[in-house]
Amino acid sequence: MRYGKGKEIKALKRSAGGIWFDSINYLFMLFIVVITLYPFANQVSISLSTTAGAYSDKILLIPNPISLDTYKVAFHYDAIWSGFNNSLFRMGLGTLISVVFTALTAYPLVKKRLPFRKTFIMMILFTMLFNGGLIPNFFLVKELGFLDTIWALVIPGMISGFNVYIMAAFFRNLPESLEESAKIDGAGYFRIFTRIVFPLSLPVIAVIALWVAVGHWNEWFASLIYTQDPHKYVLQVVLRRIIIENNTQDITTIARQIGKTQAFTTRQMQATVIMISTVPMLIIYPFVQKYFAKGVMLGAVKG
Amino acid sequence: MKREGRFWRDLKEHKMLLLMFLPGLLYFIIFHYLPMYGTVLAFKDFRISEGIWGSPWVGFRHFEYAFDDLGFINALRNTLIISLLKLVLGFPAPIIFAILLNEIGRSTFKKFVQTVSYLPHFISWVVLGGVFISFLSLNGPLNLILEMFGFAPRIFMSEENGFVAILILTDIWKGFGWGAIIYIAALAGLDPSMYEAAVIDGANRWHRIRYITLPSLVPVMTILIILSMSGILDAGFDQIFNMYNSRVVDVSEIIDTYVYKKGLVDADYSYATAIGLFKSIVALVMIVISNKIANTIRGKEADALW
Amino acid sequence: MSTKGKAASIFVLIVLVFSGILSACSKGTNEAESAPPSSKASETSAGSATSAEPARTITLNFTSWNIAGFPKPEDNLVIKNLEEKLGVKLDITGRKSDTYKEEYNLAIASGNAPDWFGNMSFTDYDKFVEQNLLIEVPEELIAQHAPRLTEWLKSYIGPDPFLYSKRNGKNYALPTVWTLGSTMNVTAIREDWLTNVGINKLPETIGELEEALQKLRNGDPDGNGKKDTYGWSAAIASPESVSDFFTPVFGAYGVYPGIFTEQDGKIVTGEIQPEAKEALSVLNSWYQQQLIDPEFIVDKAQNLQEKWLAEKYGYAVGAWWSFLPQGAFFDGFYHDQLLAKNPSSKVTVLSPPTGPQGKQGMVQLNPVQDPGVLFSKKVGEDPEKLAKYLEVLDKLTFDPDLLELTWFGIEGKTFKKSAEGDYEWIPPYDNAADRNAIGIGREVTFTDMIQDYTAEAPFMTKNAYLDLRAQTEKKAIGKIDILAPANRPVFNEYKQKLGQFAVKNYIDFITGKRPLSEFDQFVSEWNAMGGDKVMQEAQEVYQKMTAQ
Repeated sequence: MRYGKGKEIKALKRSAGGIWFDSINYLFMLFIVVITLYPFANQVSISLSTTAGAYSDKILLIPNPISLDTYKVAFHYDAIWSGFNNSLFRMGLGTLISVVFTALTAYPLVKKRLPFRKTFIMMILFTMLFNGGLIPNFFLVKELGFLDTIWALVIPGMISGFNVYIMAAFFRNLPESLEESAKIDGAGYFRIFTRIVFPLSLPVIAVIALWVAVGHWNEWFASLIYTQDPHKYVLQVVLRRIIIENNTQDITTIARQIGKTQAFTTRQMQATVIMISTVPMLIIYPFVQKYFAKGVMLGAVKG
Repeated sequence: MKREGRFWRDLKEHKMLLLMFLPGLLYFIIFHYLPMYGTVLAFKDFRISEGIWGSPWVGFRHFEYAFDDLGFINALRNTLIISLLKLVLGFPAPIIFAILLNEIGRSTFKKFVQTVSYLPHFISWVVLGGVFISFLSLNGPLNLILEMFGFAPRIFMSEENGFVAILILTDIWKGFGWGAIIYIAALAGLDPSMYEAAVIDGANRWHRIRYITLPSLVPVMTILIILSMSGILDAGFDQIFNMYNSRVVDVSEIIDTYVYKKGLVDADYSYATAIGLFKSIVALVMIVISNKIANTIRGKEADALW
Repeated sequence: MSTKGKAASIFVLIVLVFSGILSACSKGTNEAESAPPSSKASETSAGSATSAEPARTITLNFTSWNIAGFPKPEDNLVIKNLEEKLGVKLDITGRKSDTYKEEYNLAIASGNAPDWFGNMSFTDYDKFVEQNLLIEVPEELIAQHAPRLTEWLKSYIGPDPFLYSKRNGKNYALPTVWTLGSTMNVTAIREDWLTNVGINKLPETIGELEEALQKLRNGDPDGNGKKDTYGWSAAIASPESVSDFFTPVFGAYGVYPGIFTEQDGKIVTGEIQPEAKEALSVLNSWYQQQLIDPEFIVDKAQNLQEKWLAEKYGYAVGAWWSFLPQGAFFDGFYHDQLLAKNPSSKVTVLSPPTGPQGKQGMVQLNPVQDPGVLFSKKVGEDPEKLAKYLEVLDKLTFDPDLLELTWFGIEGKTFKKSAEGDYEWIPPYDNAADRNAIGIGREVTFTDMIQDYTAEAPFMTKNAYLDLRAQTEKKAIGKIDILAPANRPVFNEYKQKLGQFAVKNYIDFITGKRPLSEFDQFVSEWNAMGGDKVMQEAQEVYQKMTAQ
């Protein structure tokens, strides 16, 4: 392979076809931004609107007047803060152990001569597809003494077969030469894994970590079923209750409305709850994106 | 004799790997296989007072009942159609997006586009249902644009074909940005000097995408296609539940909505378990088949599951 | 499959068997129904009911929807007051709203059933009775300890208030009625729009309504120079039932689609009656004239609200409390929110229109919505407990001072009375969160299952609105589904299919996609799909009901 000088490459890249392609691509990306950002921005606007504004004909991105009522009501619930903390803790702990154990489980499966390899792969596949249902799982968690603890939220879903396979696929694409040279130097599999494979796989590890983290952040059913102490509820459970308790149209919530005229409707509360759930995720993402920039693979196409 | 010897040698050589695998193995046994006995409910008539073991055995009754039921068969048909359409049209979308995004080159704009593109993933269908009904209404943006071009406005959501198309398109819209993340990660591992070398060799943009970008994505694509077979009978309960209307029920009733509605009336836990088991078995078969196909197409170098 | 593959399957089989054996050990927990009372570690309060002193305090289980933390009786004013007044100890546990059914099932399956539970369907009730999970609640006991409740139930259900809850001659539930149900649905119109288009009399007949709708559609009632308003926008609440589908028009012809009513001593269901055809032709004509919003097919309740606030239509249908100010009861969405947006709007509630034979009505809800309060075997362990529950329940539903305590708390501390005698919060108790912490609100009692809205009117309606409320409720007329609480397995089997079929065809009749001449054909198709079996069962059930 010949490696040209920088200037020559740039000149070649700037051919007419290239400019056309790039311009259309940019336009296309702008289109993407509009169609994905607009509905979200609309929800932001609704969450900040008075009712008249939220239902009006005009489509305003910045509502006039701006009303923070829904936010005030939501944040007045003490439980939202404990919920937030619980969710952060669950997300952090859960992601850490998931990523570590998923990687430890995925790496051995890459080695074609691993004894029982196919059995293990099949076995994991089964767990992806077959499930005993709510009752046996509840009993298990109960018998293990996990009820009302963080472990009930973090252990039962710790390793997902899906993630194992994805990680294994990425591990498999690492050039064998790296491992061979390490082996010659006398390194065992564990060292190869921690010193070479893991660091080189940061992109996929970042993605799995993101998936797991978001999953923990959004999950609410397990928290409802396995937690009895309301101080241990995760944020999503609290948010669901806030919507229900401030649902002005549900006949079963009439008892909780009395005494104060609500200045907003369920629609605005829903929008506010979307904001509270989503904004932390948006803040996380740039940190994850960093790992995508690390193009450390050399000549990664196989063969 | 030789095989046995090789087995013990492999065992010794991979001792450390087996040790690394052990925690995962224990986890799967305890938290997945141990509770799996609950699936026997598919063959029983669940009675709360007697628990799972005490409940009477009914064999394949739930399955016979389901397959005798025209409503269920119809739901099965709809599920397959919608699922396959979503797969065929929806699977390429995040890939194309990731490839095009890759061509933008590192910049703040690229990061911005990527972050914004997955926002729809975080808005639930409960909210999006109402949003899309509004958007597609006679006075909504889509019909306004159509009118500008001289077409008569239509209530697309009340038309059977229109509704299915809406299901597919909105699903793609909601998922492409989030789904692209894994491909972007795969592309992140590529060495930029490969592209430079290709340019020197006279490759144009299309060639570079075809011979460098795409092949590097094939391993991930293979795995994802095979794994997406596990959801072949899902078709999107949340989405359909929040968007459907009576006129399109015939084409949009899927297995999950059908079972859900039955459950409201019957409260039959074991029937639901039986249907769940049926879905799992079909998924398993599809995964095995697609894995075989992947192996056949690409031979020994395939990135299939096994 | 290779030998490795075979090994894989054998491995899986072994694990499954192994897990089966292991889990059989937990079988004991499943069968804990008759086991000694398991101590709910986090929930049993200090004064548990195992001692046998004669003057002991019984512990009653209340539930809380409170997410901020269950009010502990020790530091909770309202709960302490309640305990004193009722002479019991209160043990508050959590009920987690929309997943409560799964939680009950889990709790029961793990032998940890709560003392009582509710909001179950009749099908669930039958299953629980059959599987021996409930204790009997003898009628005499209820009459003795909850006399006011018994009378109240009689006034809504009939001389035998346990008509729907008895199974094999025994009663297993404390029935409850949702008193708002039978006088719930009304129609409402934008009276200011009527004035704008020159109509000075509120429409009372179908003919007058048609005229009004025409003017609302064509007469530019909002005065913006555009023909952008419809007479009537609707939404189909349930795709499986025709029962809330333009029902005022059907009622004007004497039919009630989607529900079972009595006519000339027989049970009929409105959607297949010949009069329905007349109503459908009226609706079809209105549709062709564009008086009805064509998006009624796809719109959901949320879209309808948007359209009302965006002032896109003038005639609406719904529960009466949506059309009154919030102080009159609660909600008030269609009134208050519209007023906030357009201060010159005027929403007036109307009785449904009368038809050519003077008939009128709308589909209303049967007050017997579910079996009521069900008591688990646990309560049976203490013979006095059940009686105490009944007594307390009776008091909480009807005693004004207890109602005031649970609704508003303590005068001078949490609420005060205004000059008109209305209740006003003393800050910070105007916040739901603060009310929760001190125990105010129906969310900390279990009587949100049993509410007499008449007894509670002073607490739910501002004095100024009491009259308005009474007048408005009178306008809610029509018929209810008299078979709703009855056990009908055939109906359950065909309900979904028949309902969807009816809705789809009704839509097509109204929009003209299916010509009305095919109505009789539709009826025969409906019957052939299982409808005749359903009607047969309905007649039998009705005869059994009226024979008692």
